[in-house]
Amino acid sequence: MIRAARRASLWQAALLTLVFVASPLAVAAQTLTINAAGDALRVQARNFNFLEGPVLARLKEGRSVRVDFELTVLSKPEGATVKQAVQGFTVSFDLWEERFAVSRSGAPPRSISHLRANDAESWCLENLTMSISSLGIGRDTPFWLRLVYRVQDLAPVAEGPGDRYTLQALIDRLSRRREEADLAKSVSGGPFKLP
Amino acid sequence: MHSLRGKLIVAFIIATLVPLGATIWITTSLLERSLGYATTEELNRLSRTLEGTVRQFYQRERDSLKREALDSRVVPTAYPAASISNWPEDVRAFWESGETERSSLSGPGGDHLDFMRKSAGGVDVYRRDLGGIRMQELSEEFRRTRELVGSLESRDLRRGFTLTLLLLVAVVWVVSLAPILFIAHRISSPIRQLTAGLTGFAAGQWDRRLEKGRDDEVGQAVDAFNGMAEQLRRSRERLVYLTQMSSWQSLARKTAHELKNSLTPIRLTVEEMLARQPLADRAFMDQAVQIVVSEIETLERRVRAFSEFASEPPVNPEVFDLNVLIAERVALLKPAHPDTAYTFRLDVRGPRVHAGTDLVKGILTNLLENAAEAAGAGGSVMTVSHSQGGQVVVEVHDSGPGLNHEARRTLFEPTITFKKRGMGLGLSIARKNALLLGGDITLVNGELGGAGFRVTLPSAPESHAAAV
Repeated sequence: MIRAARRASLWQAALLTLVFVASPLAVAAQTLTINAAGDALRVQARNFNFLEGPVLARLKEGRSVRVDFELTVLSKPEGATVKQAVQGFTVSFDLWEERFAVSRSGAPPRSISHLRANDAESWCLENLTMSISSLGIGRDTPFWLRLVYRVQDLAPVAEGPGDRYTLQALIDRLSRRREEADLAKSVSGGPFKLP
Repeated sequence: MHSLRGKLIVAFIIATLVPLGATIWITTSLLERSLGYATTEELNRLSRTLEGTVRQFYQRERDSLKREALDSRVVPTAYPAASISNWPEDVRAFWESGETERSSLSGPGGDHLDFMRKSAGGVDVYRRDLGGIRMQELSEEFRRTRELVGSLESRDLRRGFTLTLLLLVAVVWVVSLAPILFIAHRISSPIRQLTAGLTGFAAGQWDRRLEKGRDDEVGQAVDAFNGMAEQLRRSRERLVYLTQMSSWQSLARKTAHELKNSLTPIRLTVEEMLARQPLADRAFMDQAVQIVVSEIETLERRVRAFSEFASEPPVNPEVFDLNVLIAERVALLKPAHPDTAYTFRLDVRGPRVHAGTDLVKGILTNLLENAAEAAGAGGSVMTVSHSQGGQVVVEVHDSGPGLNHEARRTLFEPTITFKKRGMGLGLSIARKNALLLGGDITLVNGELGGAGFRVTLPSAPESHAAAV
């Protein structure tokens, strides 16, 4: 029994070590870089994938997914917000061609189709821009960035009755499984300086 | 839970929970079976299979079209760059993209497949009819099917139906428990009242009565309790009165005996003393002896009254018409009180009494005499007779001054008088005799402004009444 307990402790220690080693690697893998095109500041996030897991599963069900990106310029890590840009995209999947299509909401709307997953993700980031002149930051002033995406309403839409006080509504409410929370992911980086 | 109410509630719970449990079990079993017919897994599998098949079809058609295009076996539609403004949207989007070739659906519902390829002067579009298979409609159908599968998988219908059933059953059960609590309270409340009444009665609360709330069995039980309590109270009062009377009679008997023993020699001695007195001194002696003899006679009357009070008259019950006896007693009384008016309100059926005639005569004489004396000259006396609850009732009312509280309290106690004449034993003797006959005398509200007495006497059985 003592031997079994010791073996279990060794396993736990190994697992903890793996977690400690793997975590910085995982964080380091999602790095942010910036570039400028005229007055527009753009970001690139290596390995910052969102067309995977439950999002991809939903797209392959034939449904579209709304993804909201939020790019925040910070004066220091976890510091005050200097400026924030929010942009929403609607992603869909061509079941037969197995390619993605993305539409940018807002003005001016833009859309593109026949993209692979990585290309669709990159296109979204390319269309998430921020005006450099509106930042009010000097060329030598360091700043930090936080990029967040949120995928809304991942759970299938339960077509329940509109009236809440009917027998059908009661059955619907009591039969619902635990709904998945909105999926969100973020990556931060810095310090940056304006190019 | 030892109370009747608690037991009723427990009985309801036991009686309802078992069938409810059985009903729920049967319903959930049926539900289980019915849901077994609607298999989401089957739908899921079919949609996936269909999706794979359609994709294979599409990709085969796409690859085939591409091969034919590259082999120049299909004639393309050329879109020269010079006329880009007239291009269809999808062709222009392809031209602007970085791709060199692209396949896409076109036509109504996507029933055609286009293969677009950039050339030196523009875009060549190769088109193939998919044989009426509308791919975009199939996409939409697939999306709806997957949505349905997703919607079904997002729900545990078995759990939903079961919880709804349990919830509704619980609500109905709790709602039905409320009237049971009310009914249990209504049933147990009068029984608790009865129990409290009986307990109080056993503890000596002879005047305790219950309020009759309704006409069902419980109401009848309350009636029976009240009747029994009244009977017991009266019986007890009679018993107490008769016990007191027995003591008073014993005392009266002894007193009468002792007085009688002394009075006779006293009287003889005084008369002898008068006889032996010389004639010269007879005047004073005559007067003295007359006073002594008068007092002795008064004492003798008292002795006789005491003897009568102490006597146990024989009760020889017989059936007679009470109205006749009343008329006779009043006729005898009238000469002694000629200025008193006598009225009657008698039962025309002639109530038959089964009692000792002499004792009833004595009772009536006493009450009528008292009433006439109380009414005085110019006053009135009313006699009433009727039957009530298996008894015959006689009431005598007078227009006299009535009785005060003290008189009402000690009215039937012996040796107390409120008249100038008499011994004060008349009412005591009358009540004693009424009790001996199985009836009673009670004081009632006088209808003529004075006193009123009610005599109850046993009525004659039907067979006797018919025979007379």
